[in-house]
Amino acid sequence: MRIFKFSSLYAFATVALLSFIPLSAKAALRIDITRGNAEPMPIALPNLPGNSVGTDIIRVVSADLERSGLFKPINQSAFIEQITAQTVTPRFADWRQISATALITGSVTDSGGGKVKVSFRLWDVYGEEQIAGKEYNTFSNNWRRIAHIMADEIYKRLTGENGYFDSRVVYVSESGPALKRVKRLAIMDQDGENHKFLTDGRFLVLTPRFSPNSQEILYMSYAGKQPRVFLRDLQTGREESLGNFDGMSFAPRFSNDGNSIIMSVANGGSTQIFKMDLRARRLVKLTNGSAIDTSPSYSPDGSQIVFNSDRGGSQQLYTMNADGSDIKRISFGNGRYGTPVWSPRGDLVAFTKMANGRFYIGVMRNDGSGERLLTESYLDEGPTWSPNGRVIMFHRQSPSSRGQAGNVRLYSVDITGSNLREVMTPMAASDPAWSPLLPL
Amino acid sequence: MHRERGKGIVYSVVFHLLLLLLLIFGLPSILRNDPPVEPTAITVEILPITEKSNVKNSEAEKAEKPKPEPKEEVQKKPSPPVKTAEATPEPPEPTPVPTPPKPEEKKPEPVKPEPKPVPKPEPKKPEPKKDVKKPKPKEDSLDAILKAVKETAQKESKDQKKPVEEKTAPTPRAKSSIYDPSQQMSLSELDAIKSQFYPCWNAPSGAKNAHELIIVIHAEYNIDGSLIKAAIASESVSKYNSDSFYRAAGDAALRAVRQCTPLKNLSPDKYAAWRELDLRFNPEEMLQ
Repeated sequence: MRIFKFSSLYAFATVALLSFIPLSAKAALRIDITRGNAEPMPIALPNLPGNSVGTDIIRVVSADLERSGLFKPINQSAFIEQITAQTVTPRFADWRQISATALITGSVTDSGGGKVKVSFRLWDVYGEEQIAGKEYNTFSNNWRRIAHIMADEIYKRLTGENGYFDSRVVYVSESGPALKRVKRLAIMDQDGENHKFLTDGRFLVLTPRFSPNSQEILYMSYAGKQPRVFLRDLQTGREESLGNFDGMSFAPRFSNDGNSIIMSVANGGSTQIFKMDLRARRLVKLTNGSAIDTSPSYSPDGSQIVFNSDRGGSQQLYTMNADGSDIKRISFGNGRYGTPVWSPRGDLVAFTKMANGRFYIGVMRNDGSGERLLTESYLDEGPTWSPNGRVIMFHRQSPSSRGQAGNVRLYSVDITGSNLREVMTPMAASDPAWSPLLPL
Repeated sequence: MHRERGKGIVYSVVFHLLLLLLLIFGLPSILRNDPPVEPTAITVEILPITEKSNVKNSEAEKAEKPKPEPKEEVQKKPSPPVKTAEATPEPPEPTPVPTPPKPEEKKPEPVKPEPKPVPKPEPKKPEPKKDVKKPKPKEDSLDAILKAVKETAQKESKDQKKPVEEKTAPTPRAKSSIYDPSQQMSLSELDAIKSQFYPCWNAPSGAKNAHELIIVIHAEYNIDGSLIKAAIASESVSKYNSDSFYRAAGDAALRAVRQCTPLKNLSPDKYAAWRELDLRFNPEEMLQ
């Protein structure tokens, strides 16, 4: 009985206590804030004191952040406090005065032997606290890369997602008249610096794609009797043809582990998707039938492939398992869809859409829902994702006239559809492919 | 014969009258020449929805009645030390310091309102008059005592009101157990608070699964609307520490709260209601 009494008392006490919890939790008034702004965040980037390299680094960091469309570097002439190598904690009120929400401080010091030590701290001006800090030791001629890595750190801490500044872009550089077009492979940093050509233009090249470690590229070349897929090592410059097929092989892309590739092979009237193991060079056919199945792209986890096909009558997007099973159509809008690319983030598929005589770059979820068109022009094509899945680069061409090829340029756009910008290249450019983040 | 005739005439007159009445009222559209229906001008007076939208929650009231005073004491007692502790580094804040003690001073008074809850109405001056009138018919013998008590109470309240009115409204004092309009925020007031955060909040619109990045910030304010402190609410803390997207979204929400201070156009009378806010930053609608 005692036990019973005690337990019932205990139960009563517990219930009574629990019934009080929600009442006490009601103390604060709850307000839902459902609207905000998409304005770029004002950020103060004073030059890093100690070495002239500090000024160069900040210039590149500032340009990277500004180009993302998410940050607005504040003009240095507006700064009230001058950051020196001795500055330990900045005077936050001075930075709030000029509306800075984030601030960078740091320094560059010579460590001898052509090496420098670059350190920086990221401050939350309103929270009055340091929220990130890093130090890098490197050769001073490596300052540009350090700047991109630094910009990535800042970007990551303030947006939550990885940056994309320490990456490169390979593309097809175009020159000459329309009927005698010279197309060369070219590579550059994502900001257009360190530009160089990889091929001499004797053979037509198309659709370059990076390997997951950014050290190799796949592309299609017209060198030889018929166009086929080549693999090129970026460090050694060595290139090799991948397989001898009866038909044309094209639209290659690496798997996520870099051990295999998928591509299209055209034979007779149909085009099918094949997977090739790069070590054994064994070929596996993934699709069948008489349709044209092409532009395959792996999901980031490697379990699925998105591609376009005319098997339903018009060119649409489909997904299938990595072994070719369970094919599902995912695009159902008006017009034709092509060149699908799975986002590195895994949440979206980018594509080119052709409707009513216009071209669009758009994104949709993996199941085809939530289609959004980001750009529109006479000819927008060939989307490629930034390493963090936040930005899409593509090429845009204007109509050709009097035998002159239409001007074709690279552009980038944020996945929200904002911040459309031209990517500067020395000559006309098409078919961009964005590398993953470079290995440190 | 004459009688029968007379009856017949009476009947026919009655029936004719009935017929006439039927024609008049039964077929109004034919007989009446009603003017065409014109849109009647309706004058609309825009009233501040403050009081209208401030709906009394009867259930809550019932539930609160038995234990309101101890609860408020529990809530209010710890608050003054927080304020003063936070306020000490900022000397020029005389207003918040005197306010917290006021509710405490008022608490002993609720003993008086207890006999009053029946009259309840808010107006301050009419109250005592009504109260004095009502008891009269019931117990004349007590009149003198009641009058004396009321008079002394009025004198005291007048004396107290004068200094209080200068700083805060006197109404919130004796209504802890009754519906208290001063403690409830109206929709327009809530909207006023919301809209102040819009320009400050940089919403994570392009982030992965941005619709899931809902952050709750717990913020405390001084009576002048300035922020005392803001922090990620306990319900969001674990995700904030484990997910980088969520962390960045949390920081953005915190920045918005710190940037949007002081809050403006808030009634000091309702300070108790908005002193602590749970601000729920939800980007879902922005992504649609």
